[in-house]
Amino acid sequence: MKQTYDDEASTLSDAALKISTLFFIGILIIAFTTDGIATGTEEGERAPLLDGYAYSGNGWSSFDFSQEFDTTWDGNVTSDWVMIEFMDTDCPYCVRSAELFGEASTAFHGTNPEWTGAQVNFFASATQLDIQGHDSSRAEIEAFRDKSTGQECAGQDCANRDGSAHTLITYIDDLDQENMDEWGIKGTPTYFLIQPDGIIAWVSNGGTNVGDYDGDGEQNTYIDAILTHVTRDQDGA
Amino acid sequence: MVLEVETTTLLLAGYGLPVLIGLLLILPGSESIFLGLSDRFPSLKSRRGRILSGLNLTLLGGLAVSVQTQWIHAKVSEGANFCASNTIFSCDDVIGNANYNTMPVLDVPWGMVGLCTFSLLLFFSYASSKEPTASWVKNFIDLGTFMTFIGLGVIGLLVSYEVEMGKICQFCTMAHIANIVALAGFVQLRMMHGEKEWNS
Repeated sequence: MKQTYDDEASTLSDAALKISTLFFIGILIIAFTTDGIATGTEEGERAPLLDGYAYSGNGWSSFDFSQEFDTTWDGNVTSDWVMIEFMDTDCPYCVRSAELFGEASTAFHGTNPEWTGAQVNFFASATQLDIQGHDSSRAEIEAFRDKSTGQECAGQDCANRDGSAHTLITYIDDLDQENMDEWGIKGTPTYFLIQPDGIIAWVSNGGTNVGDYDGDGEQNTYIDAILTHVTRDQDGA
Repeated sequence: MVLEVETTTLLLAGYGLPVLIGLLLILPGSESIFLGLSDRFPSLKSRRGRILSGLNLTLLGGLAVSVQTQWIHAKVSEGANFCASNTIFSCDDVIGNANYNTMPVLDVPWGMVGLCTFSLLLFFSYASSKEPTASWVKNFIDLGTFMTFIGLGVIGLLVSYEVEMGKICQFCTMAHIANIVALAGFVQLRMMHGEKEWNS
């Protein structure tokens, strides 16, 4: 049988082999000398950015989420953790959870002498879901947070929602759903507990089951997650 | 900072040297500079050999600097303190900016894009330098020219990001320079291929 030889093939394979070697040496150098963390919304990943304007009771101002984090955090109790809720002021489930969310923001704050752990800063990213009747606005977000009258939240006056005003919670305007899309949020409310270094410690949907840590009969709530994960003072724990 | 200023300068010099020598080899009228080396490296005697050698060196520098930028990307994601810089030259701030540090749509870090691109270009260039009269050389030169030309658009986009941030990443700039030098080399090879000078 006649054999056909390609004299130029050895040049190509030789070149490919050498350049591939260089490529993989580069990859190996990176792999062995770094411990990169992917950005994403799974536990153990670095939380994506949150853009937009925020309201903390004194008007809307530009918000820089990265300012909340200390990337050199070494596990100390003095650095603050972040709890963020993705919510819609017209979502009945979000309205119902508002009381507990407000109480938690006070209970895990540094000003509460009974809490011996690191301070947890509470945020709510307020969106407007594409559902009939869900017409939100910045005025509605303000009313939801401050429990002020004149706006309708899930069929009732925002002032009539359960719980007190969320004085310790910063609300972020996500009416255009940009942050929601970036974080891959499928529904509201969705909660994320984030470490001081910006790494997600716990996610409410599909995250680690932390069990019923506070014994309230409900498994895997964000209260259980905070009690399980947040750094505690050794003396006070 | 991920890298100290002195280390950055040393590394930049290390990556810049092959790109600079590559540029000199590619530039027309540079034969006199390399005359003394042509006995040791016979390929430097011909114009085609000098351009291909210059391309190989430049692309090697580009590949190495891409590894560096990808390394910084991975290091920054570990949680290195990359916001402390107050200088205009800061790769940490540029590569650490999550809004701009990956390719749109594909979400691949720019360092990895550079690593893959320079590897492919180096393959085209190195294989062509080993077998300059082979049938596939014309295709490789055309592809190299096309890729480095598209690279100009990518460079424009990345420079616009740097302008927006008010920061310059030196390593990224070195990779951009390597791409421009490589484009010059591929264009010259393209003009030479098939001419008498190519086979002389």
